Amino acid sequence: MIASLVAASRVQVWDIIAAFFTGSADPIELLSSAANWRSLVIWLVVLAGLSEAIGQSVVLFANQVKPMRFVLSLLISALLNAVNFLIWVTLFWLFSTRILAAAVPSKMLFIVIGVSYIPLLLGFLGFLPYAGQPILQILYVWSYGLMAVYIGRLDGVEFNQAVSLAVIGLVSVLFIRALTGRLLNSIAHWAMDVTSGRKLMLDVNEAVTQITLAMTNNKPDAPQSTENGQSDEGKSS
Amino acid sequence: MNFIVAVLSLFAIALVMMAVLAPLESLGWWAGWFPSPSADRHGLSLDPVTGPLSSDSRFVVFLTGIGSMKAEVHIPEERVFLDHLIVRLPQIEIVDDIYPYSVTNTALTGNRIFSAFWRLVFRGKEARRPWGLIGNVRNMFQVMVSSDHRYGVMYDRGTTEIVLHGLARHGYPFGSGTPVYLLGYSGGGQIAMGCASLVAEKLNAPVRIISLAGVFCSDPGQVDVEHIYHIHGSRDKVERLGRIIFPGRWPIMKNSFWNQAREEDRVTIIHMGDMTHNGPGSYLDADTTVDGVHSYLDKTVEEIAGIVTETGASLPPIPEQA
Repeated sequence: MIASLVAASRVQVWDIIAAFFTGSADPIELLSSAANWRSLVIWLVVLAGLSEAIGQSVVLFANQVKPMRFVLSLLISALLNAVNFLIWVTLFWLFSTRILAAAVPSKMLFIVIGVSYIPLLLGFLGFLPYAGQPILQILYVWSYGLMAVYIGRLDGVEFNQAVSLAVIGLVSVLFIRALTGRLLNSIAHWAMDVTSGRKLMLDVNEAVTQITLAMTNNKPDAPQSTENGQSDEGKSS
Repeated sequence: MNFIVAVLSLFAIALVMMAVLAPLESLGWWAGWFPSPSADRHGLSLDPVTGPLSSDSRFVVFLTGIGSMKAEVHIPEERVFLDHLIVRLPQIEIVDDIYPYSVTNTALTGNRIFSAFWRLVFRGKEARRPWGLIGNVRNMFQVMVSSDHRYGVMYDRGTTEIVLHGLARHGYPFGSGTPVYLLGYSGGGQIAMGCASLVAEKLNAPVRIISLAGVFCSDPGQVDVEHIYHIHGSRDKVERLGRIIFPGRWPIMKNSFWNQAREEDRVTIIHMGDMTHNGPGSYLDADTTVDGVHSYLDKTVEEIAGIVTETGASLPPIPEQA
């Protein structure tokens, strides 16, 4: 399987995803032998970001974002995820090589962190009613756990360094996010506000309450009730 | 073997996709993506009462179980139950034309893109074919949408509007303070919990919930609602499932909305003996008798009549409305 894919020289992103979920091949091995490993990893991260954005899109609905802007917001969110990933990999590499003095090859770090995003391809399941939020949390734990395991398997990383990276990994993520978070969040919110066409309220309850209040104040007309209460025009799936 | 695995996989994927898409109708409605002819997202300004009112005037809004696919009550047991209730309580107006699993009150067999599919499912249901249960599954997912705190806030606004429109259709005198009882059967219990406090706020009238074997979560609406009557039987596995799958219903979750309401004595649990959720031996069973004379259905009707007329023997007094 691997040989045939490598022989074709260009691996498809679906091959990596299928290999990961079916266990038919090692996705890291596949990626590291592929000529187009950079674009594959970026595709994985963008698709995972898109899926995660769909899973959390209730905020866009609550803010009554129109369909075109809704799609734009999802795409921007996916791209921002890729930017986040690149910053994260760079800082993680600096942290590993400069502070832990581990001989971590940047290509492998790029690949393993990218592969650890694959569980988030299921992020759209966050849209599931009631079970969605717990499923998203499980996916995050799965993703972080994978990253720790994969980093531990890297060549050039000694056991104690691997343990340090795995343990400190999560802390460093928080540290990195604290450093870059404010700026990134501001950029992300600005981009989302621009694409969604309104100042997004991130709290669903607040958004719905504020919009209801605004509508109540602006629309004094009483509803006209129909005879049978059935919709004559409404179309829904 | 491979064929069976393939079929089961397809079935599982279809089920997951159905669940994932379940919130789309209510969220799309809220976002203004779909037209909403019978319910709107705006605040209602309702006409004040014009005619004289009797002091024992009451309105009961029936929120059907998840087996329903039409706005009018079409499940024979439910229809017989409502007919008995009307005979027992002639002075009460019953709103029985609400489809609570759509925020636009659009029944599955109504004016929808996939209505032809749902009509097929409906025929299967009437012929007691297995695929007839697809409608139940779809409605069950809507119950989950209402119970999800992210979606419930929008879904419950939709059901509030359709309840208010239903009351308007049945001549509810807005502004009169006439009490309203939301009678939710099975999954309809969750819909009632979700919209009760909003309905009360809009009507400025007492709104009480009667949960007939309701399957519901610990809902924020339970904090504000005046009183909840929860009717259940010891052999009702579906109702019991609700107590298990929603952690907020567990007794150890002391701070949940449900347990807060119970702590404040705003919940009355009514035990119905060994009644089951549906079928023979259920709350709506007109054949099985309690004492050789009165059927399970009679007992259920009597309990609900006692609540609505506030004469039930085991019921606590209802506080005066401020």
